[in-house]
Amino acid sequence: MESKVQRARAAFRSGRSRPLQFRLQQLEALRRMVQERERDILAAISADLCKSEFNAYSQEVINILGEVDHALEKLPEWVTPKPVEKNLLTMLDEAYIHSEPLGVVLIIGAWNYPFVVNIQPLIGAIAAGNAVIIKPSEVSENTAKIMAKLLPQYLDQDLYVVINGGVKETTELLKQRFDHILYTGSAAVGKIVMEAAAKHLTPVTLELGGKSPCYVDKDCDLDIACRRITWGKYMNCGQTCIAPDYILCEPSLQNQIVQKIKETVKEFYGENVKESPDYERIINLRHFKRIKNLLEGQKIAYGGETDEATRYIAPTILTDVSPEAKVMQEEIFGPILPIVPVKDADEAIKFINDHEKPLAFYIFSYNNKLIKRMIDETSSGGVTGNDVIMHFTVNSLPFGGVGSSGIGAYHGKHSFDTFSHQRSCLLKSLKREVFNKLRYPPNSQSKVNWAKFFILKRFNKGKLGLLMLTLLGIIAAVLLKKYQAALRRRALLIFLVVHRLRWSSKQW
Amino acid sequence: MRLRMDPFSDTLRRLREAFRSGRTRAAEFRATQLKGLGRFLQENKQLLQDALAQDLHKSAFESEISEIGISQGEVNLALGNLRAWMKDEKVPKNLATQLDSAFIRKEPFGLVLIIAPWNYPLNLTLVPLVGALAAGNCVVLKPSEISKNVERVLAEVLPQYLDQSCFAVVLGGPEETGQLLENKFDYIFFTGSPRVGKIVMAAAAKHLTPVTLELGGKNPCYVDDDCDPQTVANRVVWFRCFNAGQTCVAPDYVLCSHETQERLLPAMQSAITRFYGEDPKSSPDLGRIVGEKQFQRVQGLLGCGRVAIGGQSDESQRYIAPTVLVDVQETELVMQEEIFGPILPIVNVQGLAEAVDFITQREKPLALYAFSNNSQVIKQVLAGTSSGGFCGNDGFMHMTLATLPFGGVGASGMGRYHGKFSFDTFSHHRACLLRSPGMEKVYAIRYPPYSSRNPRVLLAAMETWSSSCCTLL
Repeated sequence: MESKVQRARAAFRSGRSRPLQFRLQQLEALRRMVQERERDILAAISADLCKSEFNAYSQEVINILGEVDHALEKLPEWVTPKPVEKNLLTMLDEAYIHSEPLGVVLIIGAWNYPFVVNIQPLIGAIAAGNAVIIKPSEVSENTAKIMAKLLPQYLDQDLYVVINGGVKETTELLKQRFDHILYTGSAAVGKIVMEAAAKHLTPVTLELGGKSPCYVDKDCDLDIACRRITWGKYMNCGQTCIAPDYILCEPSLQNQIVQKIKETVKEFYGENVKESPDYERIINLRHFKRIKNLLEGQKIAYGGETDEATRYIAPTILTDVSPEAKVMQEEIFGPILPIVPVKDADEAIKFINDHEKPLAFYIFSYNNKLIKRMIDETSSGGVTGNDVIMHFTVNSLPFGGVGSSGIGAYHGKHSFDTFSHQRSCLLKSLKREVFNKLRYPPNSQSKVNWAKFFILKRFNKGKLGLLMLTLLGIIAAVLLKKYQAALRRRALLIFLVVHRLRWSSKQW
Repeated sequence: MRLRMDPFSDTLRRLREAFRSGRTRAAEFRATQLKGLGRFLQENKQLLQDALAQDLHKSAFESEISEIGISQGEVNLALGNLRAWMKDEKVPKNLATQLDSAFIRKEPFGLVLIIAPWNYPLNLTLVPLVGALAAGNCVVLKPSEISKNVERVLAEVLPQYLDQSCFAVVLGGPEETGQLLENKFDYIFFTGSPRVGKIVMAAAAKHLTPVTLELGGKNPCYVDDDCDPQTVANRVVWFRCFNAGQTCVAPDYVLCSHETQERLLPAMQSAITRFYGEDPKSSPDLGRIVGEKQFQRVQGLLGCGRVAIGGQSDESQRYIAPTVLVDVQETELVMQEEIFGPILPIVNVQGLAEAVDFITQREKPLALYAFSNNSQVIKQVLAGTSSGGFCGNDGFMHMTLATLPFGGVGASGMGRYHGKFSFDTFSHHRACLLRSPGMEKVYAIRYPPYSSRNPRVLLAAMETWSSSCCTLL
């Protein structure tokens, strides 16, 4: 394992992952891989999550194709250095920000969307010019194996490596030094990853989770709200980091919500949900048992059926759930939807703020003012108003958490930025050394005044600035060099006062 | 069993409650805080200059340009741009979300901890503070106990200018800081050494607290054969000796050919004499080493290689003469640790490729410098290396431009700040998508059951839907 990381590092040092053409080629190869081997990829995902191939495509592969196309289109723009606004002191210089690769990036994936959580970051890491080690989750075994098989067939084998294994192998891997680690998974393991990263001062992006609240206002289109909630909650059998975890609403709405969700479930999955090809299963026995336990002692308004042999849990709704219930203590990650009654929006806000900041926050209401207020008074990784999940699909929005739901963000250009170092560059010339006399010792009060003037003034008006700079510079140099007489110094001071009065009254 | 009292828990609870009350969110409140900071700087200028002189023998000139002036500039910048920075940032949408409102909301994290070092005790405390306050956070400031005079002013005078329900200064040494770090913060901003940076990040990991670490390292300074030695000498010497070398972005060592070294040495001596006189010890413009421990360490480096210029020291004043060392070995201490003193070792290399190799075999530095008349050479050094920041043909001028992000990479740090970057660093960027309940018939395409419809048509529609290039609208 260590040798694979060393090899990736050596490959990075060779410099071949840096040229734009190379990065574009690799991204195109990745795209070809996804298109040509679609069957194999879909089969693997389906096997892991009992997912229909259609779902696998629409939930995972589509995202990847969109992301890689976006990167292919925008990369030439992203790698171009960005000039910045200059001040008087740097008027004649080149000042810009240059995005550079970090080196060897480690991506640790989760099992719930096993393809997307590894490959979407991979796209950003390749685009940014890095070498990449991917450690897929061993829980989604088939997808892990297919990625290990396919990647070396299409991409540079030394630069982009899949390493498979369990907890032991991941722990060993984390002892190695990386230049960035992107981890998707639980908060508990997120802490372990960050602690390991701290030993090497490796920056991290942690995509964690939490309980994403969904507030349903009494003044909303309840039909639409319930359809959308049903879609987002039960997709992938609830195993989505940004699924609406629980509902907050006024007690009078509970029954209606249950009724409408029930109808929607029938519409989506048929009378016998277990037989719908579009309804997934819980990933493994351990999680099945964990989720089933959450039902203990709860008022099941709908659903609740389970079948251990197939790891099936029916779409379930719990009503009148108490905040102290077990189901409200951990991220559910399953098809159970608790409804916690609250008096009003204020109580909902308080409830949300009394708990850890979630990865997503959802709110359904006709009242835009209320929506804005609830956003203003809470915090979360992201928000979708009047729908669920969708903010994930807009790749110009950074996708990430806050507080215990995560650190950092990615998607689209945010991935590129996450996996790059943005280096500040200032290019001056060795000429015009005479101007620098102002800054060198021995010092004097007039030098102090000049220094303040030059440092504090921001200027971007081209020719005028140039003229002003030249004038001031000449005056300063000439005066300092030749005329140290008190008379001239007074003239300089008057000049200074006039100028300082002028610029100190201006806005930046 | 001895229960360990957390001396900070009351302060932190108070600040957290203040944050939850929402007091720091309004632009007016933040502007008032920033104005308070501005008045603190204006009304206590003499006090601050005296404190800086006492701690580091800093001249009025250095205090103005690298501490007071810079801090004032950041306050002014934040005040002038606060509302623009606070605005929601609209983002381009895809076809599926064309009719929606998509934007990034900048939100304060909550309770922010700023741990500051002693070398620029005002600048490196206040400039991050400007960002944290502008972003609407409550702040705990932990100034360095080593620059004790500035520490006193920050602890006793600064709070009077800020709303003390949302701001606190805590004092102490490494042990107290360790205790402080056991608490949960919503963001930690640390400036200091890589060694302590690791400790801070490990403590932050326990609470999943995001961090910015402004660390250090050995900043290489490549001098090409094609240059004007006097100009280079002026610039390198000045930036090296500024604050008696105690600058995280100072040129730490020079890489050049033996021929260039021979041209540089007399030029450097000339610069030193012009700047600090025949007897630099009596120049009011040369700083002193901050403390006894640090002095001993720097003094120890004088024995490395061979002294070509300077080499004198005086323990009673913690004075180290502007010194240039030659014939240094890579294994000597002066090439193993960040110097943080007015000592400049010169390491000989045969040409650009060897210099770039030398640099890339080492940890990524906070700053990198290259001097040459040939802009191609400068660009080659840039392209072949990595560093926090880079300046061609000068010292740390890039720091004076607030439009350039200031931060490290690799062992020299993570994250960045200055100007708007400070505001963004201390803000959580929340992705917001506001849809309407309408258009449901269109969105219904995403719902199951899927088998009853033609999957290919559906997929084509979904692909176009989520495509990010919108040529239609």
